[in-house]
Parts: sequence; C-alpha cells; structure tokens
Amino acid sequence: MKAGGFKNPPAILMKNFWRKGNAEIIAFLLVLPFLIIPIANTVNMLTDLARYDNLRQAARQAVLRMEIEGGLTSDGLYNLEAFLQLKGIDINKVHINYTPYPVSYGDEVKIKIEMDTVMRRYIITLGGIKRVDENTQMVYGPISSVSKKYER
Amino acid sequence: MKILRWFMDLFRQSVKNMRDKKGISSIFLTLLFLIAFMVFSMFLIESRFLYTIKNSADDAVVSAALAALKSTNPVDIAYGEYVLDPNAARDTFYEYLKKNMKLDENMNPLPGSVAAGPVHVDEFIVYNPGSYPTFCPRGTFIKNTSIHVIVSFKAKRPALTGLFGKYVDIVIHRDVDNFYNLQEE
Repeated sequence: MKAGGFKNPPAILMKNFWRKGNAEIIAFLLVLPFLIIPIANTVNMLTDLARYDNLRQAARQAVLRMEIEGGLTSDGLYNLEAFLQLKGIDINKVHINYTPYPVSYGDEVKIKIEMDTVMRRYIITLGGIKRVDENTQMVYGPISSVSKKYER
Repeated sequence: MKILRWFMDLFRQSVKNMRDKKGISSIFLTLLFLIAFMVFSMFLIESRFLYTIKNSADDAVVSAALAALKSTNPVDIAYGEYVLDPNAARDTFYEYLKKNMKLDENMNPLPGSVAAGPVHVDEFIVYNPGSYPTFCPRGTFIKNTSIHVIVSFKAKRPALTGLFGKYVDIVIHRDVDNFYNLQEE
C-alpha cells in the first residue's frame, strides 16, 4: 500500500485518482468553493437589495396615498401591511412610523419603515466555508409630503 | 502530528501533480472564469444598488414636488384649473427635497443621504393656466397645472470603481401635477 513514497491513505487515494485520469475532477473540486461562494454571496446581496426595494415601494405607495387622503388611514395601513406580506416580509419584524389620518390641507405627512433582518454571507476560512449571519435593520425614510385633504 | 503528516503528504502529492501538469488546466481555467464571474457579479449587484438609489431619490423628488403643489388655494383645486405661486412652490419644493434626501441648507448631503455630493436642481418650472398645453423641455406633454423638475447629483459607486470611476451621475426628471399616478420611470 505504498504510493510514490507516501504511506497515508489521503495521499494514496489522491495518487490513485490521478492515475485513473481524474486529475481534472480533483482540480475542479479544489477550486469549487471559490466558485460557490461568489454565487451564494451574489444571490444573498441581490435578495437583500430586493427586500429593501420592497420596503421602498411600500413607502412610496403609502406616501402618495397619505398625500391624497390626509394621513395614513386604517385601510391604508392594512393595504401597506398586506403589500409587505405579499412580498414575503414578516410583518412582526417591521416597524412603521407614520402620520395618522386625519391631517389638514397643507400639513406634513411622513412615513418611515424599518425592518429587522439578517444579512447572510459566506466566507472561506481555514476550516472551510463559513456562514456569517449579521443582524441588522433596514430603514427606508422618513419620506414626507403634504396633505391635500380638503374639507369645507 | 499524524494529521499534519497526512496533510503534508497530500500537499507534496498535489505539488507533484501540478508539476506533471495534471489538472493544472482545470485550475487555471476555473480561476480565469472566477475573475470574469466575480466582475459580472459585482456589476449585477452594483447595477441593482444604483437603481435602488435612483428610485429612492425619485421618491424624494416626487414627494417634494407633490408638496410644492400645495401652494395654492384648495378651493381652486376643487374647481379644476388653479394657479400656483412659483416662489412659494419653489420654497416648498426645496424644503421637502432637503428633508427627503437628507440635505443641509446648502444642499450638501448629511449622513444617511443617498447623494455623495451637492444636489443640484437644474430645472424648476411651474406651468400655470395659460402656459399649457405645451411640452416640457424634456418633451413630456403638460396639460394641467404642473411642476417640471430636473434634479442631478452624484452617487458613490460601491464596486468596480477602477473600471467605471468612483462616482456615478444620477439625473431625475419628473413632471408632477395633482393627478400624478404611481409609476416607475
């Protein structure tokens, strides 16, 4: 069981693999983690940006509605939460600071959406691929406009 | 110690195989592919990031322009045609743009702003009855009392600064009236 001067199983195994013409496969497996990590991190970063964009879209819809209706009504809040849930966001992790209805014509309306989230990244360490989860908060706003609600 | 010896043997075997050029082409090609792929990944993420910055600024501009439309008598709005005071509209627009984009009095970014330099309001035109129907300087048809605004600023590029420069110019053009609908440009 001696392979080219080496007596331990991994080296013998490696030599046998090479003898069988599997050098390309072994080489590919060696660099595979370097391929997987950029892919995984790219997907995670794009997912984070997509989640932030969902918050932005929700805030945008809300501020336009608040501008017309004079503050965020209970119906508006319900729609806002429904939109976030539709986008797969856990509403329990979302904090919405808003100007409630009613607001007189010309007064300020504003909204700010915060969400507790986990940013996941993968790094290469001496022990192999390691997952790093970072608890953070995504914040959109405050974004403000004025109420156009007019009542005689 | 035994594991260390195994590891060293494995390493020597790998070096020997490298010398024999077994599998070296795979490693070389994969690393080449890796460089191209990483650049492409960064480009994807950066594009999405800058798109988000542009959309955030667009929300700020639209909200500020809608706020500026308050500068009139609400009773007139109910009857359709109404007249905006251009100076009051401008002041309100600046006030809300500063709030929404987190800018100081000189339109320079405060911490948390999407802008990486001063924000410029390149064009601000109020269209009152008599000056429409017409086209704005960018070609949008104006048929109501509206505010035409063009805002430009620099945003910091998160990656690929060596390829495309440290900053990217972002220009937002909006024509906003009280019939403004939710839309992405």
